[in-house]
Amino acid sequence: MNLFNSFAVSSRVRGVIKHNLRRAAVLTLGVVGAGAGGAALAANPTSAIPVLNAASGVTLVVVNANKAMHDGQNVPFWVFCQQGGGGGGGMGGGGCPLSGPTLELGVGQTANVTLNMMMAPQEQPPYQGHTIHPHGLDVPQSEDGVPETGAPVLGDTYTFSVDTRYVGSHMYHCHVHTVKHLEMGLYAGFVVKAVDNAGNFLNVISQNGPTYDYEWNMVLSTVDPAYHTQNAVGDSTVFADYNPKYFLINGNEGLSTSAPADTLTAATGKKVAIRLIGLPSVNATFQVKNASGSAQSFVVYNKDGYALPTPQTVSSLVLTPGTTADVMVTLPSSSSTWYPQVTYKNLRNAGTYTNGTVYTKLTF
Amino acid sequence: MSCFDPFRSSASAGRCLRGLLVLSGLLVIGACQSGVRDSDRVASKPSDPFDYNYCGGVPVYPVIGVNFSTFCGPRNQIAVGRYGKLMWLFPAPDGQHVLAQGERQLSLKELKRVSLLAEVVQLADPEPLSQPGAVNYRMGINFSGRPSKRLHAILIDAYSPAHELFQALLDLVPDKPLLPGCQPEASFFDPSLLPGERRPLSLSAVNDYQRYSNVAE
Repeated sequence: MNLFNSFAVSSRVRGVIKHNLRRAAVLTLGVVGAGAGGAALAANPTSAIPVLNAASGVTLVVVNANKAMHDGQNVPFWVFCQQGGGGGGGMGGGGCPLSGPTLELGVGQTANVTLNMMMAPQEQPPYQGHTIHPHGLDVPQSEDGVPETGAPVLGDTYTFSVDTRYVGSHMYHCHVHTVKHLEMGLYAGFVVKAVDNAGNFLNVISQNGPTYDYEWNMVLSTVDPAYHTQNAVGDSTVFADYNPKYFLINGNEGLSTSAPADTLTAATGKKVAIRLIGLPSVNATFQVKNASGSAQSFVVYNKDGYALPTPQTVSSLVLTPGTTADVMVTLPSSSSTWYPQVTYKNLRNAGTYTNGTVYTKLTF
Repeated sequence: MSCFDPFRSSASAGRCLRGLLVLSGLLVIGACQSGVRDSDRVASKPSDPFDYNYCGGVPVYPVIGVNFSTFCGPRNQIAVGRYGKLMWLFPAPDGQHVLAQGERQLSLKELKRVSLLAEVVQLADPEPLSQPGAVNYRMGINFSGRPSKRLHAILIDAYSPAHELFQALLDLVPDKPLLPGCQPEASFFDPSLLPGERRPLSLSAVNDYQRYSNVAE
């Protein structure tokens, strides 16, 4: 057996290339961060989920993370994390938050995302390993991260590009034994951006859509702690039912308006694009309410990452599992506080859950 | 009760599948001896609507995974995907860098043999764990449409169905994993964990895992 075969050599070469791409990523992100293509203002959601340029050579790892819930229960998660971006073992301390990093990809640019499996926590065989499945993007089967159709599970590099149809919000998640791995936290947002002639991201909500001033990614998810136990593996009967106990936006519970899951501070009169990335295993109703509790109208531009033929003005929007929506709110000219919120509902009977409404806060 | 009834009881299924195994073994041997080539893997519709060996007209194979190591060694992994792709990931001594990693599509002949060995493991009794050894492995097998089989075993020289499959997979991988000797040594541990996370397991703990695996059948 030869340990130094051509594959091993090519792996090292790829590593050098990736190192250079990571250096390039720092430069590229600097340009993007400057808000190319419009009057971009710094968005500052407090959840601080990293946003990475998928075209710049991102390497992700999977790490253990524990989250203490409001009732004191400690729930173990697995999360995607940028390699070298912080250790696991905790959330909210600048480590690896739930969800994983949001990946952004410009139209016509090539995603270059590597999943490093060396230290990843895993399920026991035959469900060991992880993948990155770009949910909602039509990519070559070899880059789709679906083990059942041949995707490697012990680490891979995903390269693909998308066209203008996909400008909007999507998601990625692990597709190994999805019923377990998705629930464990292996998910995140994937946003396709329109670009200018120089390749800089544009602040438009769809390819030919309106501009926005702020962008707020909201990853919606739910937690059934029974799925997170050591017995919930393989063909366990635990997976025969789903009873969520915790409800999240960007990995936080947000039990009340005074303890929101995430907060964005914006200027009056500006437009805020809210990207709703639906990863719960139940239905979710999104609303924006003012300080008096009145529902505010907002405009839906994209569903599942595709622009609607005609934008829809609504005051409530239902997201089913695995779907996304890109909506826009226009802030009044006078200062106030709004509370974008999601109410999770039982798939069987549309019943509400205890603590099933998650609040965020939009101050302007 | 049909041998292809996915809701069969485990006892009768065992009898049915043992019969099937003998037949499939003869068929496999016949196929291999007749020199079937990869180009013969032409997608076609299954003739039996309960034939779980096809997915969308494409033949599929058991998903097989093995994690193995010595007590202090890196976590080595081998996997076979549903479409017959062999994957391996062998870490360097530090456990954080790659010693060898790769994948390749197995030939039809290789897949038939691996599938047959996996079929035997699927039907076999749990591995005996009376003899301690340096290398522990955890293996899982999933045939499409059947409950998964999982086992914890200690690699020894004696024959067992799981050892045979494990050795066959090792032989198919062109790279060699690191299996360093350890002091102190532990006879039973979880090789799926990273070295720093491993603790010696009692034999009863391993048997608990075996029992759980069998309950899952």
